[in-house]
Amino acid sequence: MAVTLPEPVRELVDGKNFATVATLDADGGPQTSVIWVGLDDGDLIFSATEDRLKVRNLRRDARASVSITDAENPYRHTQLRGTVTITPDPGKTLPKTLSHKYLGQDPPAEGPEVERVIVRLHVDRIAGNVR
Amino acid sequence: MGVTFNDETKKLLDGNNFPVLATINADGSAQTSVLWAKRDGDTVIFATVRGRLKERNMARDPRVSVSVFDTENPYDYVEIRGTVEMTDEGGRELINELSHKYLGKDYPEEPPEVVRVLVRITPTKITGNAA
Repeated sequence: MAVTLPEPVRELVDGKNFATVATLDADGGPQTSVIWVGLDDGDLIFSATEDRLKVRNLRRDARASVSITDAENPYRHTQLRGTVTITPDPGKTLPKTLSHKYLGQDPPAEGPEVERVIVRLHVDRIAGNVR
Repeated sequence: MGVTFNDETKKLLDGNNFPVLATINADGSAQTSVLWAKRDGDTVIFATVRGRLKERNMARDPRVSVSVFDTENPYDYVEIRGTVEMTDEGGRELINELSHKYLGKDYPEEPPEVVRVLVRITPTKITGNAA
């Protein structure tokens, strides 16, 4: 069952904090990457490109775990486990939104051959000392 | 032959950064947690406690992935995939050493029934912009 993110977790997601997402390789082993995240309609979302390993992994197995630490105080952290849905981002709106959130500027231009997607995490379990 | 760390990766691991570890749960999904860790030659070591979820996960499936970014400049990051070996030898000494690395003081005393485990990650693959 999907759970609603409590306010302290939303603040971590909404803040200028870096997250790490874990996905599952074809052989079942874990893969991690550092990501920018945003809060959208109460959910954690992030941007990726279709050719990325994490997206290929998530298309095969939608289960993911995301850890976020508070950049101001790394001893505050949350872990969100759940499943993702992936939708196209033809207008490349999310990279722009996140680049403004983290860097205050537009992202570098990408060619039309780069297929951007929006990954939305549906959380079913929260751990860590911020929850 | 083993994989070795380059200078950038060594710097990330030697600094007071907070790596995120992914392990595999019994149901095959991923679990993530924030660590204190250090480099030992071309391996990464950290301490956990016997019976914790990540310890039980690694005992069942030794495959892990760790992402670490520079807290001063999060755009420097690396993903280290590898397999772990765990031992009770030196776990308590290591948590104290890590407490000194990160906080500059002794780790609080723990009851004798808490079994500290030293976990050593031997890398098999390193990616990321600091790889």
